[in-house]
Amino acid sequence: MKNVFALIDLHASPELGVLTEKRPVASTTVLGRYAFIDFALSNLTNSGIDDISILIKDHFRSVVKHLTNNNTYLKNSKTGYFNLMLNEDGLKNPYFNTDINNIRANDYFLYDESSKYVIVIPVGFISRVDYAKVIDEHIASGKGVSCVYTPVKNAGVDFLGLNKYTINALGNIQKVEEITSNDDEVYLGLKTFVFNKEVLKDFLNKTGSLSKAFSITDMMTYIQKYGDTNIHAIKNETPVRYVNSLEKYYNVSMELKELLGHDSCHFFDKEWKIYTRTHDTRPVLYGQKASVKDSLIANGCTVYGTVENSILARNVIVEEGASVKNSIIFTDCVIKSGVHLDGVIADKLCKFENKKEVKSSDGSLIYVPQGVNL
Amino acid sequence: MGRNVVAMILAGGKGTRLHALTKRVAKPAVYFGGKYRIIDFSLSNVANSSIDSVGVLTQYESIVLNNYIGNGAKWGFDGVGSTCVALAPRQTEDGANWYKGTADAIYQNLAFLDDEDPKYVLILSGDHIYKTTYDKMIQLHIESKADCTISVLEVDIKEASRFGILEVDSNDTITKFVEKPKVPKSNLASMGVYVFTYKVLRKALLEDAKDPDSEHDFGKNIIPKMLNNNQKLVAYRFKGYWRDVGTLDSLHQANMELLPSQRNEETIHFDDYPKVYSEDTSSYPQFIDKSAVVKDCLINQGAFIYGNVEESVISNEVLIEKDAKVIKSVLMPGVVIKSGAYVENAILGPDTIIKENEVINKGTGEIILLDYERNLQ
Repeated sequence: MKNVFALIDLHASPELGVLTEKRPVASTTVLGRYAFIDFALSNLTNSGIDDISILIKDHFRSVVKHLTNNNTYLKNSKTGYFNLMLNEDGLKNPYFNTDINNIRANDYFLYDESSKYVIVIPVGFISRVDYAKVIDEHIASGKGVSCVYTPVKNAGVDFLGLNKYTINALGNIQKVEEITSNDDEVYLGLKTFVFNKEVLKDFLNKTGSLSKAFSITDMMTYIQKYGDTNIHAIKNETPVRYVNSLEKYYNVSMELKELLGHDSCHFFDKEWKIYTRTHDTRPVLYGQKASVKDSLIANGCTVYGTVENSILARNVIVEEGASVKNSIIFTDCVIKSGVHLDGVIADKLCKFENKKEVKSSDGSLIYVPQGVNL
Repeated sequence: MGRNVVAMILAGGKGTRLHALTKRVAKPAVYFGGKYRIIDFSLSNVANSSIDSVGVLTQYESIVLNNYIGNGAKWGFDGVGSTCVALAPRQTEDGANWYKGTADAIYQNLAFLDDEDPKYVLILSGDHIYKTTYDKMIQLHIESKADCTISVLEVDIKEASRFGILEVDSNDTITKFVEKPKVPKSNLASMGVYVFTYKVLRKALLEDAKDPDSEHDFGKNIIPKMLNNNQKLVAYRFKGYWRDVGTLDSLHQANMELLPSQRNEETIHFDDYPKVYSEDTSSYPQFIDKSAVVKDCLINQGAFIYGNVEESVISNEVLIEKDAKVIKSVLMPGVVIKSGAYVENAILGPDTIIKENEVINKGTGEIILLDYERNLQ
């Protein structure tokens, strides 16, 4: 879609506790093979949107390291465009490190005539969204701004703290509220917004005089509440998962593992590919005494021991006589013979050797930070 | 300014002994090791040798191979100043010709080499499995001031009559070359990997092209003629794992040698330098189900395993259903083994489907090949 400029908004990303102390959610490993930003980027790629910028909030190195080669996501590296946006002033003063100020610091695209529409999408949701349909519906609505939502159940547990929309008979957003623990069935706001470019410019001017600390979500809530602009609501019907804590990360990962193995047509679609950086790792080696059940294993792994109900990222080694159960193991970890892990999230480059059993007594998750030798 | 070394990979072979596997693709494009195509090894070896200009000579069923080679990005040849190009036979002012032999293939692409203007040309085959860098071989060629350096493998003397055999003096200068001798006097087999000084190669190819009696082949014509002309040819002794996977048995065996039970210090270890690069298929991570049994296997991303797999190499997008069993087999991309089926000692070509409860090759001890055409029966 040549008319569309996409912004992936890392300012609007959730935090996952210890997992995101040194990296953003965007570059955090998920399902052993991907980073969260791959889902957002692949949705854009599969939707034919080739003009993409990423609003980076912090942990620049981690994001850049994952993205390295923009050819991974662009259909055409000449006609497409891939850009990273950083607000340097925001780094000095985190209070003002917002997506809107990042846009203001990199506002060239607002004056570039190659696109008429701007779509802002978040990272942290996992879903299959066809943004080409979203854009088409936005254009057909005749409105200057649209929000994307998905009907969900169990919102008070799965989407606590996000926004829910009330939609009027004309298909416009009537009310924006925060989801509370009492909510069940709601229209979940996906932090995905489509603007006519001139409308976005106008909003940025108006909100600039109100607060220098506004985020896009704040701006949209303000416009809905006090503005004279109707915001069109666009329904996305594909299922959505969201992570905003370490526990949620674990639970959603395990759920997606099951869905991938047993219900791939519903949540995943082999025609809707998920693109990621290649590491040229070999296929997985399984030893003669390996025992592997109910697990997702990424290329480069070597499994000579036992793996059950787990997710192994690239280059993990499970030696003969070792076991990994109910765990998520990040890249380049080694589990030596005689070690047993249960209910563990092990960050990159951990080595488990001397402590023979790593399992909490109360069934809670154990997080092992990057590079730890146990 | 010209380049130091340009690599020319001969990838036009039909590979007739691989039967249905090469019905629609050239031998170098045949899948290997669950993730790779055979030509990935040669191209990765070239990339790992810091050679940034490669011509791949394709001919037989070249569409898949040409498409796969693309701009060489899979092996990193899309960098600044790098070149990777598939060179299929083409029409010129002199007409259109198929490549009549290995030497003729290079001869017909002298224009490419002239443009690249290299000091040395590395010529190799695109259908062998081995990991190396060519640095030391090229260095030997330069230091010995050779006209041509040939990579040789020490083979069992009983096997020597299957190869082009080189005889050398005490300095490893080649004194004689005999193609498949009945009574071999040496065990140094040519690997079909040559480094030529380009000016020498160019002259030899131009002369060979004019010779009506020549088969335009490096082994049969170019090398013997250079020896007759007292040009300096040197042997480079290659040490390490090298396999010609030209038959079903050898293809199967080379795949089996990747498995934990058959790996040893001499076999291919993908984790060690130099790396083998290939296509990333954007597949999901592989899923191993509760009901699955997976032992002594090499399994690529995108495989979904619900059945029993032992001593096998499994490619991406393979589905092995519950209660199916696969033993000592090589499954290429897209293969489906339906529930209750049994497969033993088989190579299953891309997209082959084995029906529910079907029993394939149980206990015969022979290696068999099945391909997708059986799906249509």
